[in-house]
Parts: sequence; C-alpha cells; structure tokens
Amino acid sequence: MHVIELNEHWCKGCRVCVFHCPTKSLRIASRFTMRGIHPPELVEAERCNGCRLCELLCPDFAITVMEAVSVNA
Amino acid sequence: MSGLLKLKTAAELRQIYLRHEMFPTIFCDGCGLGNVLNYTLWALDELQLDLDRTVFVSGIGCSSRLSGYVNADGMHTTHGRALAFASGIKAAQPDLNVIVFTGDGDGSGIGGNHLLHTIRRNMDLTVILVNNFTYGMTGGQVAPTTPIDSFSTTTPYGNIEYPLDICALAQTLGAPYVARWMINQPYPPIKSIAQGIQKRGFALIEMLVPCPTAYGRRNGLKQLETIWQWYRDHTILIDDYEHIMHFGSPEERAALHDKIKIGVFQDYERESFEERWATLVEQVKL
Repeated sequence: MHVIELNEHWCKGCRVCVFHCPTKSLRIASRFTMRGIHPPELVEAERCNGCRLCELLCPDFAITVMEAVSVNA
Repeated sequence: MSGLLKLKTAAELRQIYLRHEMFPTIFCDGCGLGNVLNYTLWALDELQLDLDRTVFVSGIGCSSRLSGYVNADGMHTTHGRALAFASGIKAAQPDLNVIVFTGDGDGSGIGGNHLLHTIRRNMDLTVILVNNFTYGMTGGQVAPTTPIDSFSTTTPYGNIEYPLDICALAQTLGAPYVARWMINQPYPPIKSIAQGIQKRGFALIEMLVPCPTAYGRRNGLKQLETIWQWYRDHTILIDDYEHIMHFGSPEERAALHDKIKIGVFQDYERESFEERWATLVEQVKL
C-alpha cells in the first residue's frame, strides 16, 4: 500500500506523472490548488505498486511516493 | 489512512540538494529540464559527492537556469562561454568537481568553438548538454540542432539546413565519454551521469528534452503526451541500431533513417589536461 505526498506549491499540473504511470493509478483532480492548477491524485491506492516512476519523472520535484506502514505490523 | 509513513530518500534528496527559496521552477508545462536536474541529483547522491567541492557552471538559456536550483556553488556565465569559465575553474582548482549545464544553442551554437577546444584539450569536466532543438528562452529561433524541414520563428517556411550531431562531433574529437539519452527513462541517464562524473577527462552527456512551447507548438507537437511520445518513437538504442544494420531486412534498415541514436557512444581512457599539466610542472620546475 502506497501513498503520494504532493508539494502543492511546486506542482504546476503538467500531467507528466499521470500519463507515465504504468498502472494508471493517478489522475488529475477536479479541485484547484493555491496556484490555480489541477493537481494529480492517487485514485487506485491498491493498484499502485510503488515503482516511484512519477517521483523520478516529476520535473518540479513535487511528488514523493511513500509506503504506508501499518502500526500493528 | 491509518499507519505510519516511512520516508523514502527522494524527499531527503530534495532537502539536501535543492535551494528551496528558488522554487517553484520557471519551466513550462511539459518541459523536461526539471528531469535533467532530478537525474543529476540522483547521480550525485549515488556517488555521495561532496557539494562543497562541486561547482555548477552554466551559460545562458532555459537549461542554464538549472545551476541556480542546486544548493552548491555555481556560476551563471555569459552566453556560450560556460565551458571557458569551467576550464578556468578546473585549471585553477583541479580537485573540484565541475559540472556544466548548457543548452544546444548555448553549447553548440554560440559556444561551438569553445566546445571544440575544450574537448580537444580534454579538460576534466562533466558537460550535460540539454538539446531541445531550439532557442527556447528567446522565443524559438532556429538552432544548429533543429531538424531539417521543421518550423521555427526564424524559419517560418521550414528549416533547410542540416542539423548538427553533437555526439558525433565529440566522438570525432576524441572525448573520453560521450552519451546521449532521452528523458522518458530515468535510470539510464542517472547511471550515465554518474559514469561521466567519475570519468577522468571530458564527459559529454547530451539529453534530448521536449520543448512543447517553443519547438513543439510550431511542429504539431503541442500536446504533452504527443511530444513525450515523439521522443519514444524517434529514438533507438545504439545496440539495437547496430544489430538492425547488420542483420535487418532492407525495410527495417530504411525505417531507421529518421531515428536518433541514444546510448553510450564512446567510453575510453585518455590522459586529461590536469594530469598532463601536473607532469609538465614536475618536469620543468627548478
């Protein structure tokens, strides 16, 4: 299980992460950020395999992929 | 979401290597220059290079903004003269790691003569030459690398000049490390930049970067998906290219004529300027 953390001040909504995602688990959100752009969001958290391609391909250093570790584990 | 978050290294990388007050970047939507910086930082992290002993030099242009984002000493120099300044830094302080960010117009057009003579001299520099086929910052004028028949501000009826192959030029001049990569795949450029930094002598890494605003808009590649896919479709690995040229059918070989070769073209050892200079000083000193 993975989550993405987005730096909304740095993201410019260029969609490079969305169309490069191999599992198609990202999409453009309908909400606006403070900069007035539509940010990417993780819709299929189960489908995301944590390959971190979005993180490596982000031209604005805005995405971080993180693994959600259970407290009880 | 319940659970603790385990921090991966990418966020830490940004914390160490970037100047946060410079962000967000100035680059357009779909520009790959940020990726070039990203890959360079991963390469620096892989080598565990000391940022206090690393200098980033750049000329003028979109690509030359990159040195400002790194939390290391840097120089933003005059147009096309980044290699001349970098040679000076390296000659004065040979133990510094010097990384040069330059563009195709800056490095091969305006500073083409400096490129020739820095390679000939074999200075120990790592040059990351970002090729976006145009002069992006000044509004999309024709550059020496603009492909034939493509449109730009100064060639509204199509470019009639043949483009310059920078990697072939560097190979001919005997640069010890020459590579070209596109930015759609992260790991080959990261590895290549790390190899280039470790190389004693001139290392040229040409990065093919999409420019949807200045180049793509005039050549039917305005959409981000289209221009990023164009680079996938129009590049071929050097190993595959040679394989098809040897064993392929005539049709397969004919399909290669408009493709750009990517990969490591040259990798050998050659005595650098600093080593020869140190030997000379030993010989002639009183």
